[in-house]
Amino acid sequence: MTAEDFGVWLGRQLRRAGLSQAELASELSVTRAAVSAWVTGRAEPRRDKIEAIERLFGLDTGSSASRTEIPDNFETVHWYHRPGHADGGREYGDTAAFAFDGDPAVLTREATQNSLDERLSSDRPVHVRYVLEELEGEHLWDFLEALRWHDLEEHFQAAIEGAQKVGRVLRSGLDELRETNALTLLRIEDYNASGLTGDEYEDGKFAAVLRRQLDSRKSATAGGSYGLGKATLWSTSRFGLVLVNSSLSEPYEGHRRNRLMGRLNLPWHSVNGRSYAGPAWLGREDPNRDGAARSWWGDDETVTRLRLSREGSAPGTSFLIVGAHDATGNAGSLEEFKRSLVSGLAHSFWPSMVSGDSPGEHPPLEATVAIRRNGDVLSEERVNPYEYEPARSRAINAFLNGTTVTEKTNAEDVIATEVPLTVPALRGDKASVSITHKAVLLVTSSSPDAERPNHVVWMRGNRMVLTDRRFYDVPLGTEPFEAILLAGLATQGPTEETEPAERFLRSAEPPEHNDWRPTDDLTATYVRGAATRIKEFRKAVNDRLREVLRPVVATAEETPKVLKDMLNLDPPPPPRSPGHPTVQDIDGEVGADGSWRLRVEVRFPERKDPWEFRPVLRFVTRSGPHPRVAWADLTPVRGCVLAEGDLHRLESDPGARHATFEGVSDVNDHPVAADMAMVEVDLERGRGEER
Amino acid sequence: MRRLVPYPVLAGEIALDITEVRLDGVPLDYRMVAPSKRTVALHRAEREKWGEARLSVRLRTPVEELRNGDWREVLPQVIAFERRTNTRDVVVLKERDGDSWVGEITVFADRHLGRVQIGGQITATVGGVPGRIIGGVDAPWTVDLQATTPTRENSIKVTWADFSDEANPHLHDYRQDPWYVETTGQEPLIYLNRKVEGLEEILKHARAPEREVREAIASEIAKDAWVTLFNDALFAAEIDEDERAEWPGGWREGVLKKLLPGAFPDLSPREALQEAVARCRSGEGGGDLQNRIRRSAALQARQYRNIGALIRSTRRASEETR
Amino acid sequence: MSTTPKRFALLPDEIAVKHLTSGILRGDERPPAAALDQASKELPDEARWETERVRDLLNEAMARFEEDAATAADAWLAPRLHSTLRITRREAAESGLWNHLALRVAPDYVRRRHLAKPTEKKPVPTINAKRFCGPFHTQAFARLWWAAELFRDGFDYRPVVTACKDQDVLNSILRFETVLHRPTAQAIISLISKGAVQGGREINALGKAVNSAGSTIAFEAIAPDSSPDPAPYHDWIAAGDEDFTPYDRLPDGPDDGRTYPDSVAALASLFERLFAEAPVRGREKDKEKEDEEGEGGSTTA
Repeated sequence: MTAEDFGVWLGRQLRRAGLSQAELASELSVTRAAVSAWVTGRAEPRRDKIEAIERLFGLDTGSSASRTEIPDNFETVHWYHRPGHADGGREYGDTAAFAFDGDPAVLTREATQNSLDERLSSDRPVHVRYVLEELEGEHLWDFLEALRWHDLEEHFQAAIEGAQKVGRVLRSGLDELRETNALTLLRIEDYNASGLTGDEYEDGKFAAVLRRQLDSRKSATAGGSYGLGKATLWSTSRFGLVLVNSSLSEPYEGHRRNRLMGRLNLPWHSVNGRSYAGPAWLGREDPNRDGAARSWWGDDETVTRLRLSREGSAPGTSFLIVGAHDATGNAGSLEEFKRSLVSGLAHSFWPSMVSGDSPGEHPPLEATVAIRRNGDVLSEERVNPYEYEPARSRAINAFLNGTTVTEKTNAEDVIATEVPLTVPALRGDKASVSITHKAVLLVTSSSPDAERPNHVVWMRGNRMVLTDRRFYDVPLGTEPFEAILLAGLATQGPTEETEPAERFLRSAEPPEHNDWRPTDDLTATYVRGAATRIKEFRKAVNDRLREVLRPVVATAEETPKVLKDMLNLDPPPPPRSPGHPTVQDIDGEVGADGSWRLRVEVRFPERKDPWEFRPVLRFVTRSGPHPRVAWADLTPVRGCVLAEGDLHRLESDPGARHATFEGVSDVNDHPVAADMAMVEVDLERGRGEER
Repeated sequence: MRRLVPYPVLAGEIALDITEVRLDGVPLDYRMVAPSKRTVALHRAEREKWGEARLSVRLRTPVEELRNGDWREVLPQVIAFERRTNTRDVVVLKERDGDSWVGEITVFADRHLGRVQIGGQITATVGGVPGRIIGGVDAPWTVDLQATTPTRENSIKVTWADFSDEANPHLHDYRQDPWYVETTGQEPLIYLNRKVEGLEEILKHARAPEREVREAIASEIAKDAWVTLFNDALFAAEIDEDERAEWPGGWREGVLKKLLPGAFPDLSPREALQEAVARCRSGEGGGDLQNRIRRSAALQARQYRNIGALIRSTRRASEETR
Repeated sequence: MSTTPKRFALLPDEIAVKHLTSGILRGDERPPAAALDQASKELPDEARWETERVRDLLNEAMARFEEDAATAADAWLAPRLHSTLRITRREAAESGLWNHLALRVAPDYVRRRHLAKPTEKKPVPTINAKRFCGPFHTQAFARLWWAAELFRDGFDYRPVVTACKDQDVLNSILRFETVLHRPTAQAIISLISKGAVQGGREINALGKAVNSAGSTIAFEAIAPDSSPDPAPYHDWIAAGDEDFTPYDRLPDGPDDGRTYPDSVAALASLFERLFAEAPVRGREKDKEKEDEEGEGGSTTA
């Protein structure tokens, strides 16, 4: 290590510890000039002085050599509540949070899109992990103590009284915590993402997420969600409380690991005569900002207690949603909550989780969802796109492998065909020229159990789904299919073609990013006729799809349509309430004497007179008639009696709707040994002849 | 009617997929295969003459159930069956990926004529008895050597013909009739007479005001067809050694099962068959039987609704002209 | 006698049925040749569609067997018809060919084989119309051809002779789906030929037992058969021109593979057991009756 490096490190530790160079000099019994020389890198302390410095900062011996940072003292961390506005204005909730309402599908979509947008290295996938954790008993108390929960309680109480909607959610959350002594946490971790980098207050990812509303600091490929998305994190918490631990891709204050902060979104409230604007932050006091909270660098113990530990050192962020719930009310149990998270992830991000098959290929995204209780893992599931979108995932996979076909000969083949998109020249740019982009249309059979086949998915960029819409203009007799339109960067074509196309399509998207259509942005950016190009493209996609789906031979239908339905030979459905006695159930076995011993339940239509019926036993055959077999004995059990003078005919009790009888087959009448054949029982009515 | 099997069988669904077809080694355009209708069309499929169609099949079985059940030597098989050519070929499948079974079965052009049913079954040794059938494919496929498109039409066929044309000697006696119902072939066929003026136009492309007329005529044709087919099928029902009528099989059985519940609503289908056959053989109650058949046929032909609509629209038209 | 057509043709069911008048079914009239020819669809100009050899075979059958030796005639004719009329299963499934043979080429044979003697109960006997135009197991010639096709063991026609020696095999067992599995068919025949089952009652009982057991046992799973190979069959059809069907000894059928002896033996012992366990209805009391009926005699389906 060089003296200069040590100096920078030492300077930082002094600043963070609030020690002056003079104070350190006096602690170590050296001159102030010596300390100054160390800090500026002009000289290096002797070994015993280095060890003394390490002791002073509470570090292990050798820490300075490895440049270990001194974590902040957790004792200095506190909740800072923003005071009420001087003008008396009151906000009764986070406007952004209200837009989302704590739907797990929306949460997974918004949070994971952020992770994808912040993907660090394109050689590896960004891994997101959702961990649902339930805390009980001492685990819960330890967590709440670490969270300084006690300091929040009076604010919660005040907020419940003041606000209506937020108050209700908050009240039920607090009630449940009290009654069950249990708390659900949802931690959303990402790895191989940039992490919350940047300054505490100035423009940067950290400030965008923790300090600002409607600010999006995402990288260039982003779809642009206006930064609304992060609000879903807070709206998923019953308390409006989210803790953050980020590992940074670029150091800040010389640190990378364990940048911690908490944020609480309450409505305006007042406690002990003091009014509060609502939001509060958990952090280190910033003396330069009237005691506002700064993020702090946590030690491992604090991180563990706050349930914010991260695996390994890969950069990324963990969001811990305290008191997580499914506000749609669909998830009653943790298992159901997990399922809705998995299906939300699969539904929104299946294209990003598919890769080609060649070695070393990775999908852009991997996702897992786990359930834990008090730190123990109960279950963990890797989200498998093939399980949720088998046909579409197969299509993307074939595209990435280059195994698509032009003519389908196998059930799982994926047809790929090009659809041209004319990208017009930019308005007012003499150098800009119109180019043709080759979008790719993928078509394959939908899986046999697909619930909503015949849809077309539009994608661009990093396989971002724009829309997923039903294609109605399907040629007659077409088999259920799935189609995917890849445009712009998603085609993975040459950049001189895909990048202009990507730009063009983005400008054709409304704020919701769910369509391509003439927008103001489009007409302002591109030369005249740009709107027509979009319409042409959409028509070309539909035409090509119809072409691919068209049957090989068109049949000339001879039967007039009007007659067809009247001549259908499909068997009629069995009547729900037949007008005759029916066998409802048969149970039984082959007896020791080789006879079938059956217990049969019969159902009757309602009528006043008793029903007379003759049970008929048959042996089933491979083909042809089923031979009847005589009864050796027939015994009424319930709801029926033997008919007069006939041992093989039964009569229902008057008004009975159900009856049970037992029957024993006549072994001498069996066409084959009983255990060799199936039997069936049906009922005949009337006084048929005795055989 | 319920059945009881003297040993444990699979409860879960067994599904069959035909994933690929090769005609004499050349892969067939998969548009000739319709998984949703479970049909493959092989007529004029890319070539007029071919020797064999090799089908790649996959049988999907309930994995957990098979693994946990008390079955040994489990053997899944695919079966190609056609009654008309008395052919039933069986091929044993091999396991793949733990949840399905794959293999190939060949349909030889020389051994088949029309619709080949591709089904499947699973056998196992149960309680020491080998070869027990423990499950079958719920919905078999049809490989149709005569079809040019993979459709599954289960309607009585209709064709247009000139009843006085030399090519149709069997229709000469009926040349004045607007339609004729043929029952003797492998499948029933309704001939519509091209020579009856306006019939083709009104049935094929009636203009809006003629809609009610078209539907009333269609009802009339359909009802007539059902009555004819029902009577034919009733006479075809054979009497077994116990003097009981047996289902005649094929399309005739289909016709009977379609119409008997409407003719005898308070009898089970099998009993209704006995009743109808008995009446028809004894020569008693012919009138009542025919009325019952007509009622049931009219129901299939939606006559009640269509005649009603025709009357209403005719009244309306005459009121307007008044 | 009207002239026999030179070549076979396809006579559609709907035409055939319309010409089956009561006169023809009584055996008093001959079908109208010209009308039938006009409505028939020609077959390609190939030697195998010439009627001469089949006609000659039927003449020989009528010369060899008395009218009341119907069963013996069936057993003689079935393998030789199969050997003479060289067609694929696909072609045999077309009822038009059989209609043409019965109505146009050999109505005399149908009459002789299937017109019963007058009895007191039925003083004016008639031929069942299905002998002319009917399902494969009933039509006069189709039943023989299919019996030969389903009961031959590769080129070996001997099991066919055994099968056709008993009308119960032709009338009931031929219809069972179970015999479409070749080892099953051979196992049944082997029990008949070694005398383990005897007479109509027992054969019917065996058939019923096998057919019922077939609802739970897949015989093909316990008795494998070789996969079908249409090439030798195809060659055999092509060789039809040169081949000469012998009348005094059995011809050889298409050499498309015999059943595995192990498979047949396994099923034969299973069937024997099933048969032993199954009560044959009236096994004892009907013994005499059967003796009375004797062999042969025309049967009506």
